[in-house]
Amino acid sequence: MKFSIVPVYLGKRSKIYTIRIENSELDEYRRFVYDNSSVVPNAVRLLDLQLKNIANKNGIYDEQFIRESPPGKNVFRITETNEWLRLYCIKYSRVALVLGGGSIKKPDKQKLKENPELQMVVDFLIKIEDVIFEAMQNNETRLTDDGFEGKLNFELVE
Amino acid sequence: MAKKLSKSELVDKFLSETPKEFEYFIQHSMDISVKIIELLKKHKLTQREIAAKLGKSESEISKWLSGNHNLTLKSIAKLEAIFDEQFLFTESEAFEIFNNKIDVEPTRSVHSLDKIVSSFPVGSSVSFKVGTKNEYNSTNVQLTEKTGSFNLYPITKEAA
Repeated sequence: MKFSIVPVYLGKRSKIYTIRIENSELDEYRRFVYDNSSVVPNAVRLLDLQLKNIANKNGIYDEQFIRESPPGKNVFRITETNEWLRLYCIKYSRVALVLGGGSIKKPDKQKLKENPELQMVVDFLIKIEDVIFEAMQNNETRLTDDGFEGKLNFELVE
Repeated sequence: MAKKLSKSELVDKFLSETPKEFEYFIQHSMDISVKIIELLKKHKLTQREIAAKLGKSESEISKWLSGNHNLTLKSIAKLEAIFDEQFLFTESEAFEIFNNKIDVEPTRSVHSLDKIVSSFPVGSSVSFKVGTKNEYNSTNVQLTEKTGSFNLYPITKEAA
């Protein structure tokens, strides 16, 4: 599967990207907005404003994210709104986020494993992180204060 | 007949129709969240410790720090009392405090201004004058990411 990382909000405080899978109509973040906007429109709009704020004004604070991956991996969720809407991302320190997808967590299913759709998003992002990490190790992709540079197109071998 | 919008255009349209009040809500909520985070660091307090002081659960404090929680004025007041620091200012209050402190002598101004300026959001650009009332330079500072504080440029006389 071929994918690229594309900008969402490149602000002065942090850089926010998302994943675009080759030949898909929407990138992952826009698909998240599209899929959830009819169900919880206000929560989606608030989350989008939160991302704009993180990019342009306040930056990335660890306290506003909850780790969902095992230690050593950097997949987090942005703390959910009251409507249990969850958005997952790969967090690169205080510099950048790469947004994946997400959806509404069932209130009666407390654990991530009880929400297979969400678990799939987390597992997918862990794989994406690995691919980007390898490119960074090979110095093909670099992350600076200005965001990602170099190779931004990748291939995930299933 | 109206052109059918693509999914991408629908997303753009949806996000462009966000009510203005949402923008203000997130702006305030995120600013207060960051303020609490910075104060916890400054006072070396954990979320558990502040939760105990407030008689709240740790998960409740976690929500407060999320940047999208609707904190009540009572909760904000409790935090202000614990940290002995005002969170919310009217424009005139902020202006008055800032201007009063500008007039203090330079040796004290760094300390005094630090307290005021650190109450502004991280990343704010602040413009003020450094020096005595009769002899000063204008300078710009940007609050640093790590401390919420600022770096003061040395006073240098402008070339005549």
